[in-house]
Amino acid sequence: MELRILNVRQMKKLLLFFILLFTMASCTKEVEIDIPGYQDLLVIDGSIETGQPPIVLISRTNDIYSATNLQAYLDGFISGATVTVSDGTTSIVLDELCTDNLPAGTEEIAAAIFGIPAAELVNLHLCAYTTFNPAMFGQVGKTYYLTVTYEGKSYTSITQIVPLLLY
Amino acid sequence: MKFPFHIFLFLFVSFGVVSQEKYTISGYVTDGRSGEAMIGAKVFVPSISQGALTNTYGFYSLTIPAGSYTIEYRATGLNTKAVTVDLTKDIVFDVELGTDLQEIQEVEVNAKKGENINSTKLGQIELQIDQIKTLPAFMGEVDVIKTIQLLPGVSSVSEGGQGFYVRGGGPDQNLVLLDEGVVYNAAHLFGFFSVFNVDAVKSVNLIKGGMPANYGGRMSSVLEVNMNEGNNKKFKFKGGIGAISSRLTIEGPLKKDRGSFIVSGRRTYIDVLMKAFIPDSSPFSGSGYYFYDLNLKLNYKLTDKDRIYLSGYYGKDMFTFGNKDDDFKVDMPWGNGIAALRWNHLFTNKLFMNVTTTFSDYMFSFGSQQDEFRFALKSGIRDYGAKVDFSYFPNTRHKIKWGLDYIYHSFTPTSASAEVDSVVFDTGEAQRLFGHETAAYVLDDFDINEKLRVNFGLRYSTYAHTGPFTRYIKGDLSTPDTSIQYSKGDLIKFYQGLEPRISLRYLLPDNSSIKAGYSYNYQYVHLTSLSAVSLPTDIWYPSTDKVKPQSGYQASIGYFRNFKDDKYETSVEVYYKGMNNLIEFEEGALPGDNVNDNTDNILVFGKGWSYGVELFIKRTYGKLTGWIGYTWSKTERKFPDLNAGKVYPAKYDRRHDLSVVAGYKLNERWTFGASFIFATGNTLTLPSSWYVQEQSLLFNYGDRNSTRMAPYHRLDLSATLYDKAFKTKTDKLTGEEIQVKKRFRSNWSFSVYNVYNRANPFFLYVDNDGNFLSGDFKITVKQVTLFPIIPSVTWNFEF
Repeated sequence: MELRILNVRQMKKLLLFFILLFTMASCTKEVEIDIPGYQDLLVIDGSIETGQPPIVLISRTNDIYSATNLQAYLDGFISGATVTVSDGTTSIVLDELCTDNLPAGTEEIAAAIFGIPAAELVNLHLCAYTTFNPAMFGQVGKTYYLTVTYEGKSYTSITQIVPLLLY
Repeated sequence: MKFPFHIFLFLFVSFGVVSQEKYTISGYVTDGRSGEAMIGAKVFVPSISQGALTNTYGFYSLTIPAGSYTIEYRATGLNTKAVTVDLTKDIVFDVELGTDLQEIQEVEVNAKKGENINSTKLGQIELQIDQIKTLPAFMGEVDVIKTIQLLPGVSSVSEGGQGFYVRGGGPDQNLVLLDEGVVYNAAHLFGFFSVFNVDAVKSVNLIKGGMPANYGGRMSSVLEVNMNEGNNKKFKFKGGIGAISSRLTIEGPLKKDRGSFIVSGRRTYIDVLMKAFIPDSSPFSGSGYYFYDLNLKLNYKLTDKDRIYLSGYYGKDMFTFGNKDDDFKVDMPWGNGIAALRWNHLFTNKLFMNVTTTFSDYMFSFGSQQDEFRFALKSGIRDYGAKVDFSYFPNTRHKIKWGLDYIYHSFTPTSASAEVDSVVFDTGEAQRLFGHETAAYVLDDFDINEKLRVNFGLRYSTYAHTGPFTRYIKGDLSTPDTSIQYSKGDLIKFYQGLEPRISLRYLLPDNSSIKAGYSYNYQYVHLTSLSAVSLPTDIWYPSTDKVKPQSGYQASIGYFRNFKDDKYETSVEVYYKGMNNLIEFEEGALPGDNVNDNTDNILVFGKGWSYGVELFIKRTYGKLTGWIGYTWSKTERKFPDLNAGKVYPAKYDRRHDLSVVAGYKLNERWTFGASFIFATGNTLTLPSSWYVQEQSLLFNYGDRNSTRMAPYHRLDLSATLYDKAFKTKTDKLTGEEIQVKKRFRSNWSFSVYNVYNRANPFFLYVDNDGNFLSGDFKITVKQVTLFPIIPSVTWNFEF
């Protein structure tokens, strides 16, 4: 397996050389070209890890030429969806939480989850569906079911936290 | 196998009925200056308006009623010769053209006058090498394939590329023949130069539709390149010194008027030039690129009835890249080797036979070294072939051909090796595939009446995929990976098919004709490509138990008309083409995915179609010559496993393609050339939207090939300055000044590529930079342009 990864890496380098060779004699400029086929799709980014609460971010795809700043991304958050996580026995509806309006004492947990310092985070309107109920924190060996219902459509997904195998 | 011969026998019997006092005049037509065979010279009997053309070997055979005739021998650029014969028995008559002194004057004979109207050839174009030489040349390298790309119905893969698409077919669907040997990769330098050294090339013939039955194995076109035979009268030297390469050709008799040889070599010196720009201290020193190639041909007349020809080509490209800082080094050699041995034999003056044995080899390899890790990848194809072709000329109304063709293929799509510190990794055994391709054909070019001529033929082809072979079967979660082993000689899969071919010509008044054709083809080899441009990393892959042969048909109809005593040739052709079992890599496939697996496990299959209209106007002689070609076309693909099963345009789907080519001869010293092309931009797939997941920016791609690049257009100009053909000498006896023809001739050839410096798109990509959090993040579409305006100069000589 390791070898295969190396092959791909080497081949990518090869392709890079071609590009390099071409660019030696070439010039690159920015162009505005019509890229058809934009579809407004729902993007569901859910995760659960051992000892961590489930976090579900829901956004939309953005046209390639649309503004690409943090504000545009933050504004893209979809609120009002019903997000349910189940471990097969218990089922919990996640709360919609925004980082500028966190329950007291949870700032540091959120900071660790988003990888953004707490001081900065509280100034951002970064929203997610999550829960502080420890019953739904990730446990090794469990299978989790995610259901998102939004504008009358349902989306489901399954994941499992597999035990780490030590050879 | 018997089937085609029955047809032949049937035809044969039907000729027997015709019994009239008829005799045959046959022989060879040669160029008197060099003794080389004249291809396509016209042998014409004006009194009965009948004639024949010489074949690739300069042979003609004309069977007409007994009588007294004047027979004309005509060849483009040479003096016409007329001989009077009393045909009371079979005559063998060899003719040399253009040997008299008048050769000094430019002779404007269009031997093929009216041939475009008269023949059943549909979608066929022949190019004279002299004409190609006066056209603008990229970096001074005169290029056969780039000239082909200026014809209607033919388009280039990418800027400067050697790959070409004919009427919507893929670049692997062109049969490129160098003296009947198959050329698998006709490109040097990632496709910017062709492997054909013009000093070694005699003629070029392109068949883009209505393929006669004697050709097969490819679906779209045949590009026949015939090499010079060498001067059998005197030794000659030819060469050129250019900005990036030089070439030298030596030719001469092996034995006067009986045999000759030609050797032609070429080498680029980009590597030497690059050295000057990369100092030894640079981490990139030692990086470079060069290619060289060699052409060799020998021919010998054993007897009046037997001739042998040996042709060889060997070319190699070497690309090296090193980064000492990174302790990283890459070597990438690739190249072709082609050899063909042919034997012509005349059984009777009506029956001509040619036996060919060919060897063809294409190899690409890639070696890299980073620190202690060494990795090598090899890919290649090797063919051994033999074929026999018969031409039978029973009378002037029929020209019958039949033959057999056999090729033994051996493919190495990927063979990998890797080692770290002399510990060799197991990369699995090299994937190799073996196959036997055979074909038999028969065809007749038949004048049914004064107006209607038909060329009908049938080809029967087979392909056997044989062992040794390992078929890997990927398991899933519940079943493990397995494999099936076949040993040497095992028949794994057998394919066969009939390929009917027909084309008709109906003469109309006013020097015009209407032609129609239909052809069905099978193709047993495929080229798989990961990139949008043709790279040497493209892999040739044969038919297997999983990969079915490509098959397809083409129907076309055309109207041909000449004006002003054949000075202008015009045509309109319409075609429709359907193709099955085309292959592509599955979505998301990467190079190297096929290591320890069958490449065809990551291939997907689908179909395609293409249709279009081609307009062509050619000015054949005069001070100004050239053509205007325009093509309107549409090319689409449908693969169940690509683009969600929806129809999508092929990457080279071009709605409009216009080319204007002109040559102007100002006087004996100056000749000018110009070419202009305009083409709809190629298609490609770019992301149409972005989103964020797991804190990374990701792209969502739109429909396959739904984005179209900006149109491609470019103007090239050239000028050639010839030295004076004569020098003034004082006659020692009379003291008079006389003009003596110079033996040493030279010319300067100037070219400007992309005169108005148009930034044509080569490819586009989506780039992003800036910081997402700080707000200056930006996604942009970037266009890479390859070549700006490039002037070049080449000095050519001949003595």
